[in-house]
Amino acid sequence: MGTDLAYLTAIVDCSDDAIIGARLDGIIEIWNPGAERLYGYTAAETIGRGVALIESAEHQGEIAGILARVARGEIIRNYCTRRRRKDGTLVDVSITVSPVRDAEHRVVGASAMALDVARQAALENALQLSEERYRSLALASAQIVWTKNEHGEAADDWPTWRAFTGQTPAEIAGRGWLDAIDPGDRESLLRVWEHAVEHRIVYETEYRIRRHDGEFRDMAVRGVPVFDQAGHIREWVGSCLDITDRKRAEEEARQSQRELELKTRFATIFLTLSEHEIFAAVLDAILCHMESEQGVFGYIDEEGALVFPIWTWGERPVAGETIRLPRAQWNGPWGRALVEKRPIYTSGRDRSMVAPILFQKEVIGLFAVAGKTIDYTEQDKQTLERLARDIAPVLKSRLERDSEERARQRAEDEARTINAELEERVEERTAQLQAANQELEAFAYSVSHDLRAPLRAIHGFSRILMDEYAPQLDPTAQHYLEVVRANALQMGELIDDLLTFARLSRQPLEKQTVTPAALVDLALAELRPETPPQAEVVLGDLPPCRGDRTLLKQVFVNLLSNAIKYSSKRAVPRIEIGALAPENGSGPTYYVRDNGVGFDMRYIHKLFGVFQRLHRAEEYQGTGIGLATVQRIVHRHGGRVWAESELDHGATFYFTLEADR
Amino acid sequence: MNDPVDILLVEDNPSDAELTMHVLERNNLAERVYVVHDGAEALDFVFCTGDYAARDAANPPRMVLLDLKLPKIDGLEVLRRLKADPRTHCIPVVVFSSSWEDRDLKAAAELGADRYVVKPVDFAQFAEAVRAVLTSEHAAH
Repeated sequence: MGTDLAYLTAIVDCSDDAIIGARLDGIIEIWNPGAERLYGYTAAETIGRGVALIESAEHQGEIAGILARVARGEIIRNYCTRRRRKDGTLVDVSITVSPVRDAEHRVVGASAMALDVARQAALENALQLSEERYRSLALASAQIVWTKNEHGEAADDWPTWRAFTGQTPAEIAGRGWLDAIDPGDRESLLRVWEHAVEHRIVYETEYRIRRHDGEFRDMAVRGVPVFDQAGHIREWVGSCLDITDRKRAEEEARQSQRELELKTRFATIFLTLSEHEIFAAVLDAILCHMESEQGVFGYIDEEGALVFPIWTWGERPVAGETIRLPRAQWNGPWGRALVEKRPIYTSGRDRSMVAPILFQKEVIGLFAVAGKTIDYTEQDKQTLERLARDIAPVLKSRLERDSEERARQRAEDEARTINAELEERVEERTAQLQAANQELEAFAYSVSHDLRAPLRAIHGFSRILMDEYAPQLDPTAQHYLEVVRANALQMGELIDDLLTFARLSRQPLEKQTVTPAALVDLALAELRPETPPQAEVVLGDLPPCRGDRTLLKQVFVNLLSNAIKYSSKRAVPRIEIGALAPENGSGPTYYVRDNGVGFDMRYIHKLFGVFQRLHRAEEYQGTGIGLATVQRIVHRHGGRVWAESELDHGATFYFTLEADR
Repeated sequence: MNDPVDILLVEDNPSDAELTMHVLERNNLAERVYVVHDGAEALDFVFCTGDYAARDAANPPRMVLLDLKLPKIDGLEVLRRLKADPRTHCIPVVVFSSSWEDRDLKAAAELGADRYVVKPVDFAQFAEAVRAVLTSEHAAH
């Protein structure tokens, strides 16, 4: 009994409701914390006092009546009345009063439980509101909420499910809701659910539900077990969230991520690999990306042919061999894609995708893939087209670079060939020249010995005749003999001059710094015998130059010899040797001027030719080789020689030598 | 054939030979002149071989007047052999050429020619040159 009492006391103390115990005479014996909260009086203030304390004025004497009814053993349930709090305010309560009996079952008191009606109503209102709100929310959101019994059968109406799937309540009933789930997902759902049942845990999974419009949507599903007091699963409440869009976005993000990676890979490939490696690496990446077994990646070469450096297609997987298809051989989907500049797709057993690679509307290459296990999706098509777009600029620049490289290579090869040919020709010509030179030399050598021998005989014997047999010859015979000798001498001079002239071509130049004044002095000394004593020779300032001393002396000898010869008939022959001021970095221009007979400028083109004479031999002796020799020497120095004259007013011969540098 | 010889004239051109002989005669230098007509004959004469095997090697010519352009063995080769052999390298050689070619002049000098005379020469000058060589050869003896 003691235990019972303690138990009861605990209940009374803990109860949220107001509980009051009173004797039949109305004296309060029990006043719990609930009563204190409801009425404002503490237990100390009420115990031992009359219960009429909480009676409102309008219900005066009511408690006495209730107690009388309880004394008769009656239970008064949910009696609504108004009571007064300690602070004087009134409170509507619903009370239930039961008799309290002693051991002999006699009624000795009453226990009253009171509920604050207003608070109860407010609570009930709030609950209802919450439930309504919850329902509206569930309907308004994409979230589907449901409750199932422990067998997984629809426990009640699933309005949100109905709205989403278009199933009727009858179709949902029992396990009918399963019909809305993708058949492929049902088994895995059941497995997950059974696992959750077994382990009495929350389950989370994904499955696809057929929406009212027939489209399957991806749902994230969560089911929570609700347990009864005995700890058994009473029901499941759960929700389904439509994650189709989210998944799609995720998939797209993943796809773009992969494509970005692919683009980066392309860039790396194009930047780092050689031509053949590029095509293999790109194709490899594409095949992997497009989950395809076979593919080709080619470019259009400079002649407009389609070139595949790499090929894994059909029955012909070709490695290390470049395949080239001229335009005439473009047929099938590839040809169509290239000609029509658009992607071509085929499905079924021979499914393939072909995308032309376009750069500024010009076809520069082609991608094709085939051999995926399922048909290519719209997304695959878009991807391949995007890849073709992405690769176009890199491929273009690579092709241009290769083309420039090839052009450069060609130019180099050509240059090399031309150079080689040139060298060969030069060698050939040099050899020919050397041969010609050798022949000329042999000829000149032979001439210098053999041509002179008969002359020597003519000269020598005619001289013996003159010296030793003159008395026996009449004057005419002597004159004829003289003519023979003179001609022999003349011929000897001709031979000597010609040999000198010929020698100039083969004798190497020995250039050194030369003081022309010294050479002029030597030349004048040499020419002294033929210089008229009254001749005026004026030597100007002659700057030094570089040249072959011996040859330059010959130039001065020849020019001065001419000047002396052609001015010899003047009363006072005047010969002037000088130099013009150098012009813009060139060397000095030397000149030899005389006041002789000059020449007609009309014949200047004949002046420097071999055997060309502008004067008759009777007037002025000479072989006609002197000026040709001058010109040859000057030319061999890289210089220039020219003359100015007026008939009967003297002549000036100019020459330059190559500037020092 | 074993008469003493003052001058060995090596000359293939008969006109030149005749002219030279004329000049030597006029200058009283041709008393003991022997003429051969090519290089091989000249060497045979000097070394007493071939047609001249019977000649007395102890009586070499006192000088050689040597043309350069000769049949069979040319003048420079004759000069080389004469100057290379101890038996003959003392015999004075006057190279007597129609060439002004530098290379001939240089080659002759290098091989040890005693004089180089270019044809045609002033008869008097030529005679003087021969006389000078013979005289100096006398002096050397």
